Amino acid sequence: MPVLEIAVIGHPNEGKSSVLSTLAEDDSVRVSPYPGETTECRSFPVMIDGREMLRFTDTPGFQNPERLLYELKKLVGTDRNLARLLRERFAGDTALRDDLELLAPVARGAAILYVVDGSRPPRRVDRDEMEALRLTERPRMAVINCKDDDRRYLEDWRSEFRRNFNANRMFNAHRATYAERVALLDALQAIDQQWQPVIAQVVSAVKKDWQMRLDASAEIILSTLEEILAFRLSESRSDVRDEQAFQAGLREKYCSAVAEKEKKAQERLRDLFRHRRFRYRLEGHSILDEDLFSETTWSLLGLSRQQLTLLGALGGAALAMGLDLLVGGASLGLFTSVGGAVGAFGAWLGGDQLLKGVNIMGIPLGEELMQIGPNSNINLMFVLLNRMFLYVQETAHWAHGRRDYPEAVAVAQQAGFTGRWPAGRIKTCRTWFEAIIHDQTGEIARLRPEIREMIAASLQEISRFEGANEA
Amino acid sequence: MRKHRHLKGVSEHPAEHCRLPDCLRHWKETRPSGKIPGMKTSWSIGDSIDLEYFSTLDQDISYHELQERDRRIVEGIPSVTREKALFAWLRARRREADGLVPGETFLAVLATLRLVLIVLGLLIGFAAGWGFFTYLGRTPVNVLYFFALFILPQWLFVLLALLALLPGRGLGLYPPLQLAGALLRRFYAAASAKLLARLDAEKRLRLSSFAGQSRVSGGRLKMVLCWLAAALTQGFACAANVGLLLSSLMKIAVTDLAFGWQSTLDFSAEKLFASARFLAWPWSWLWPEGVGHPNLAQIGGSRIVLKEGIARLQTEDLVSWWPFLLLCLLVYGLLPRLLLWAFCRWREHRALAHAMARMPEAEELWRRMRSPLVSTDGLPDLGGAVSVTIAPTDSPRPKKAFPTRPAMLAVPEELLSGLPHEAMSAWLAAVGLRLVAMRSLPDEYGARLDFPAAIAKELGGLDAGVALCLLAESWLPPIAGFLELLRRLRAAIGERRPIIIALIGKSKNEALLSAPDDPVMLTVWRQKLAALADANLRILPFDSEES
Repeated sequence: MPVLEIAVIGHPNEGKSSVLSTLAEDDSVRVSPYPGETTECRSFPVMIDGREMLRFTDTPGFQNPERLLYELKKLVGTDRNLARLLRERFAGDTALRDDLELLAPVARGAAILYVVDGSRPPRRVDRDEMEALRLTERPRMAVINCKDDDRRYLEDWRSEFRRNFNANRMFNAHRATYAERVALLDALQAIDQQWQPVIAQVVSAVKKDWQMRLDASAEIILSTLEEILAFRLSESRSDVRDEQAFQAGLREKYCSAVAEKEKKAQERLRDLFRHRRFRYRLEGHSILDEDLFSETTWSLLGLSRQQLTLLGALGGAALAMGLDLLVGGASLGLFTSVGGAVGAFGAWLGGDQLLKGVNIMGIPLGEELMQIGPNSNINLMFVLLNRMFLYVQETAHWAHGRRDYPEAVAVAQQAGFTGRWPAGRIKTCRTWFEAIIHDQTGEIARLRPEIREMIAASLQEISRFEGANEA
Repeated sequence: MRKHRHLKGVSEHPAEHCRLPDCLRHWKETRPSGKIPGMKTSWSIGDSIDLEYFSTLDQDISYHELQERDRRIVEGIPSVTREKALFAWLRARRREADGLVPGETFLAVLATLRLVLIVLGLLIGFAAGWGFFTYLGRTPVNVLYFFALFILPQWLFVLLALLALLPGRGLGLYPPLQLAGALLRRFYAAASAKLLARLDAEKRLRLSSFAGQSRVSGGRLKMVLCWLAAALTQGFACAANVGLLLSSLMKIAVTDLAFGWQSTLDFSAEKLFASARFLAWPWSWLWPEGVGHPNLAQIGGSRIVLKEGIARLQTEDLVSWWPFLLLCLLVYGLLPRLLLWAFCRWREHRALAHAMARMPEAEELWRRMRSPLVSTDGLPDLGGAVSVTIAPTDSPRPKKAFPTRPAMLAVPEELLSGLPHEAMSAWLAAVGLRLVAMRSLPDEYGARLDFPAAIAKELGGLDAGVALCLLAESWLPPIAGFLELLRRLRAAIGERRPIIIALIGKSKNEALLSAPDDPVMLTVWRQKLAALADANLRILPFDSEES
């Protein structure tokens, strides 16, 4: 069966490449605010189980629509593929180079996805283009990609489309979410009845693929949590002269190792959502860019007070003391394990420096090693979870055709995905967390599916989120 | 979006000087050209470059600001002429600029190049002469070698140069230029195609624009640069001849030189004497036979026959050649070069004057400086108070330009019905254009094909100063079809008539006339049109303040 091909065609600088980039989830497509970025056709195959089902082809913009229409009209009546005939007739005409190039996929039978910028009025050149495409007699659909918020001309465009296209649809290549992408793919079925089964198959595969990504994301997040929460670091303390400096150095290594593990998880999530150029860069005030153990991070992404109250009841007087500190205006403290075997709380830390006074206990491994971690503050688990959720939300919904990568993402207001979790979930989390820091493998394995399910449920919610690409 | 540049007068800020390298700073400070009012009398190539450079900087400044600034520059000049005004304008702009501007830099580099060529010529000429006149007492210096090395090749070069400089042939035959031109064209064609394909749209556009601007500047200054190159080579040759003369004189003065001649062929002393007498004709009135050139006996006496050795030759005969040789060098080597150099310099200045007279930027500037600023705005209502001192208000009172250039406006058919004619005329008038006719630019390709010829016919009946103004929407990128129309219009109406693209933005509140609000698209328009290399094509973005 021949591969279905859809050529993305339009006037220069209307966002053809952006539409294609978002639709095909390929951010390697060259996109630029300057017209004329695409000079040659480039195809982007949609593969399912190794088989090419559909192919999107990016094309250069029209350069001589008036002349193209003029010449095509002269060919009407000949019982041949007009696009091919025109390409043959003007093969050596350099003035028509781009126009002939964009007709190449049409000449070989591709359907047309005509892209316009709906925030400007239709002009004679657009009408010429639409009519020229109509004369090629290929199945076609129009896509309105509004480059700004001006909606005054939408009705004018729709009115133009009614004359020349089988269907039309709004699609913002810079803000389209997964759901909108699927909806556009779904709508492609309207281009040609014969294509419906293949397009339906593609849409179904895309939906399954998305679900797979969410499942894989849940697994990445869970395994990263397990790794970081159980993480411990030990170093030889023989020949140590300055005990304080040694401890500070060890703390620093611990923090950077945890940050590195988190970064690796983020990289895997980014790959999963097929972003090669877009890097979720968080700077300045952004929570995710701050130090993992910074005070701000704790207070914004940590547990809510209600959840802490619950944990206080579960955890006993020591935790209640920590809650008192919190209510007293201090930030949440950090306490450190005083040894895996003891399994009791260390000391709550308040004030400005969260890591100051962290207890480090020498574990007698030949009396030469000092160990730090695992971190027995359950808040770490929720901070990490919320950071991962935030990362997935931003990455999964970032349209591949969008190139205005932000310097910094304002996420402070969106903190706390777990803030909406019910008491039951928090209780399970606590049990699982305790099991990890106490290295209770049986309990960890027993609770793992439940925790994974919680994470997956939150990712499903995030998947339906629609605000990530808002300008 | 708009850059506002105001004249600041002479900058005394030390930072300005700090930016320049010492040698260039010294050159800028001491260079007489363009610094002292009234001193400058002729154009330099640097003036042309700077005038174009400053005009490019002005393209984002509103017409009113430009006019006010430029009028102020010429205000104090008595009996102002075009040249005086333009010199004054350049002086003012250079004073305002930070550091060296391109034209001044070019002149600085040129002065250095000139100096290097002269020194190099002197050294080469001197070394050649010194080497040639080295006489170790065994064999006298062969005068035939002297002619073969120092006179004949120079005649050949002079002949080639004269052929190239023949009236009507320009410098097309000048071999170094021809060769360099052919090589450059080949390299450009091969490299640009490969390079452009690899670049992204922004860089491709910038490069095409640069190439277009270079073609405009190059086209304008082509002849100037050719004559400049020719003058430089002749200058180098003059220096080489001077070096040769100096070394010859020095050798003759401080060493014991002997000159002779020899030939295997049956070449008699009589024939050589006849040749020498012929060559010495130009100075024979001053230095006769025996002084200005050797006589027959001296020539016969200086013939070297190997088997006989040189012992029999008389010293008087052997030294009789030197005045003749030096005079040959002077008359047949240095003099033609000097004449050619002077001719090239004269042609260079003439070409420059011609280029400056046709320069659209200079024309526009001179037009602007002549247009009086007309203000029709009333003073604030003083409510009957008579003796009140009016303090200057913060906002400058808008002034209107006196429309000086007549223009025909072509409006795309689809925009014509919605075009507010009065507002359009008012805007054009505000930027110095007087609307004399309005025509519809057909939307349909077939009808548009005939448009250039029709417009050319109509404009042909009007004054040569009437500009053709085309209305276009800035938010639609200039596609190849539109650029082709511009090319055909230019071909139809001739290269000197200005074509102005009046650019409007996306309409706001249903008003068709609004300012272009996308700086990227404005840049795209500028660069695409610059790539056309049309010296008389410019963009006029709509400005609501001006209208």
